[in-house]
Amino acid sequence: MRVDRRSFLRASAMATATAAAAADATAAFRSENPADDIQWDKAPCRFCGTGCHVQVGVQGGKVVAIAGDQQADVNKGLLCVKGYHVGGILYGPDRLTQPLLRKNGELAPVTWDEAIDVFAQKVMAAPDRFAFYGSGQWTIPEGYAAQKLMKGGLSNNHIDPNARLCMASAVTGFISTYGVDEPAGCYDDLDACDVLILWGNNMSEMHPVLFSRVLDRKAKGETVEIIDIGTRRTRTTRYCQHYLEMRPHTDLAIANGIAHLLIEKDAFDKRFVEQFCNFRVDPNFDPQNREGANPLFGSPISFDEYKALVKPYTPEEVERISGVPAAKIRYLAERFANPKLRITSTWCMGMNQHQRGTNINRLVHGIHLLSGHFGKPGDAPTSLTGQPSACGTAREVGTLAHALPGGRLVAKPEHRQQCEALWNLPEGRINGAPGYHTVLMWEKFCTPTDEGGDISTIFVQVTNPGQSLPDLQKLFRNKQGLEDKFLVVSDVYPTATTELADLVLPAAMWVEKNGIFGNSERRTQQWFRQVMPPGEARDDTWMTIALAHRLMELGHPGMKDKDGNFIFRTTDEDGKEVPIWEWKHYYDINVDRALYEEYRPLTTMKHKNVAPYDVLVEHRGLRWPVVQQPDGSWRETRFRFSEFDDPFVEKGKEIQFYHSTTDDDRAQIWFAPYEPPIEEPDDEYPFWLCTGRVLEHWHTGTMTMRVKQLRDAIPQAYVEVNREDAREMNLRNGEQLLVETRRGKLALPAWIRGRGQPPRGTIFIPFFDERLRVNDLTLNATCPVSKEPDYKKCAARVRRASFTEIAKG
Amino acid sequence: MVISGLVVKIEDPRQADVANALESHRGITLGEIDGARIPLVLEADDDRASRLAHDQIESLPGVVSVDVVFCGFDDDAAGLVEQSQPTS
Repeated sequence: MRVDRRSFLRASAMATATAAAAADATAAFRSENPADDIQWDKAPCRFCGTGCHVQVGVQGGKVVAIAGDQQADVNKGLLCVKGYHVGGILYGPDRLTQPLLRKNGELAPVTWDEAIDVFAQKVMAAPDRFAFYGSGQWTIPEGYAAQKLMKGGLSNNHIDPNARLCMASAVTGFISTYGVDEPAGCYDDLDACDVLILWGNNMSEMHPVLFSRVLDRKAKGETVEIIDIGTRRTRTTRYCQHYLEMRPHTDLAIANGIAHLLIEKDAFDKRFVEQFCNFRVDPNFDPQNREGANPLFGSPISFDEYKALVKPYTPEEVERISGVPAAKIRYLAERFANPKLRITSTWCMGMNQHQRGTNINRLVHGIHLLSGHFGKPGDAPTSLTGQPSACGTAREVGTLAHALPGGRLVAKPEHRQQCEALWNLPEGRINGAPGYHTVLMWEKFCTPTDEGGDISTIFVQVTNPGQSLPDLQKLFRNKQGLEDKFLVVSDVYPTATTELADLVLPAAMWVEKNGIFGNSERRTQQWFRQVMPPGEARDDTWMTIALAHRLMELGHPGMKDKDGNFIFRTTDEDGKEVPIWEWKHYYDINVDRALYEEYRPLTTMKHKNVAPYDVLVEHRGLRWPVVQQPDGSWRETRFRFSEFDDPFVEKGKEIQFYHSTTDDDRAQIWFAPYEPPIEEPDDEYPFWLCTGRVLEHWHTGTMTMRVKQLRDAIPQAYVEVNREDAREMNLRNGEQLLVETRRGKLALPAWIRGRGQPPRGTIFIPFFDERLRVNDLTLNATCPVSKEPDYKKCAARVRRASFTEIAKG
Repeated sequence: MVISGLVVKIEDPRQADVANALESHRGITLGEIDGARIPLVLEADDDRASRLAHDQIESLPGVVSVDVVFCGFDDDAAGLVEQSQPTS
């Protein structure tokens, strides 16, 4: 059998590689050998927001092979190094396999019944002090169930996802510009653009398959100019024609500099602007000093006012602020001034994890609108997501403290009423006051109750805040010693978060459960369970439903609808209720399908119409809005707001921003100034510290560090140091350094000639290593509009670590 | 044994040097070259050797990039399944 399997794997590997090389989507990698007993099925990759599809090979109840899915539009059969090892994440030796309850300071095994009961009693004791902390890795049904439990059941809006830490600024950027969230374009823009501008976006490591798509065009002889605007040279920079190294935070000035030149040279797209755009200003910089403007929607200004506001951003002034030579600012502006070029901008955490994240998002949208580089294939400003369903779940299901599904807001009475009607709830059940956003939620949890810490119980699903929150001492570790605080964590492995948990719930992951994700390009992707979870591990959706049912048994009135039925009442084909709160019956029906189909009508208000579940089953994802055609088929949309592709644009309009914040079908071109960051290097802390990810590891490393191949490739965190700085300090590669900020210190090895090359005065530390938690050092300052923290810049100092400091880590 | 399916992108489709260099590498079986893309199977004794070979391919003159499209799990990985079974 071993020989057979090896031969089979070898043949499959060659068939897959040949088909991928030929880019032949019809070529199958499946063996025709009847002896082959490996079962293959589709699934989106578990890691980033790219949304690659894999084929999962299962034999004897185990995942034994992973292949890129030839039929997937996103990746056309390719995978990155993480993707092809994705199967290995299921099989770390320390999987959590039974519920654990902290008793006398130690986590001890308990039954699921006891776990759910203890949890429900805690929630019952103070339902308004309960918070749910979720994830952009939640599947859509998981997020939807959590959302319904909290807002529809408990009348409690303290629910927020970790997407607050990565995508919130993109959301506020899209909403304040177009009136509705998520990109207008899609990955097809990467196939059509002449110029690709990466705004602080290390695409070759963070979204490698998308970058490979661009390199593939170059390999075929097509001309694609790639411009990297960043604060440190990365693996991506190697492949770029231009590298514009800027001082941290100064992208605001660069974007304004481009706008200034477009106007000064009379090179902006007047027709586009006159027909499709208005101008808007950050209320703090309103030239008319009007008061009371909503920070998200700003204040209207005229073109002349906008022109005057960007006028100071001459190339020389931008050079002074950013360090980017004036000639390169002019070159960028010339690109935008050329209507024959197709320009795509992409960004991810470099622009989002930013103290002015909303503003820099607005400004990049603005220069695309001002120059008319919008709405045609290849002409698009597009944010990329870091998590597989930050869009599908956090943003579309709206699992944020202020949101309801389908782009609704808790503050709007009509939106609350729409959800109450769909969920058959009594009027007034949903609370109209936004709950706590992520940073505030954790601050309240880690503050003693008698000092205003009014969150007493938090349920964490599918994320690891004990490592990923900024300023960890303040926002996480201060929980220690607060006896009346109760932390419940659902996860698949022990993590930095489970270290402080009072109750640990073992979770099923990825293809151990049914799921639906929504990727960066509005693509909704479905998969089926393919292997069983280990031990007592169970689905997160089941945990939420079981908790809700136990709360109902304990008498919480919110767990019933207005007819007295359980809010998660689910029936079979005969209309008979299925007790899905009992694990043994959970898979008697497809709960994912039931929840998704319940949610689907909520997606139409903002024209985010998702496809029916059974249609998704047949596809490798479909990009919303998905609209049924006269022949019964379902058509996806690649380019929103453009008449040639978006079915919701009225005939003859060409471009229609049909959710415009000004109700006139126009997008907003914003002005916001460059403002210095909250903390900058000084005599005491002379370095910039930037944090981020690496190709081989995903987020906090809880999955990738359990895959031998990935762990061996990059086994621990390090600090990248500039070569000149290292020479000046007489540092050697691998030498242990102590990095200190005003919040903490960390000893870790220096990497002087590493993959990334920071400029002088800058260091970089990845955050994947749970033993070396860089977020002990980071700042908890947030964007004032999106409330997203800035992990990309704070002041630090560096010196050789003593033996004692090395021992302490 | 680690078995991977790779696609190597090269700068110039006419460049025979890259294909020759790949062919001489132990454990590599070339597929049918399609323009600027070379499909191949890489068989290595262990993960470390696989990773090393990958890096060597990537650093060959004329190579633009290396994409992995298939990975067969080795027996060690399957063994981990047994370790992760419930203990109670």
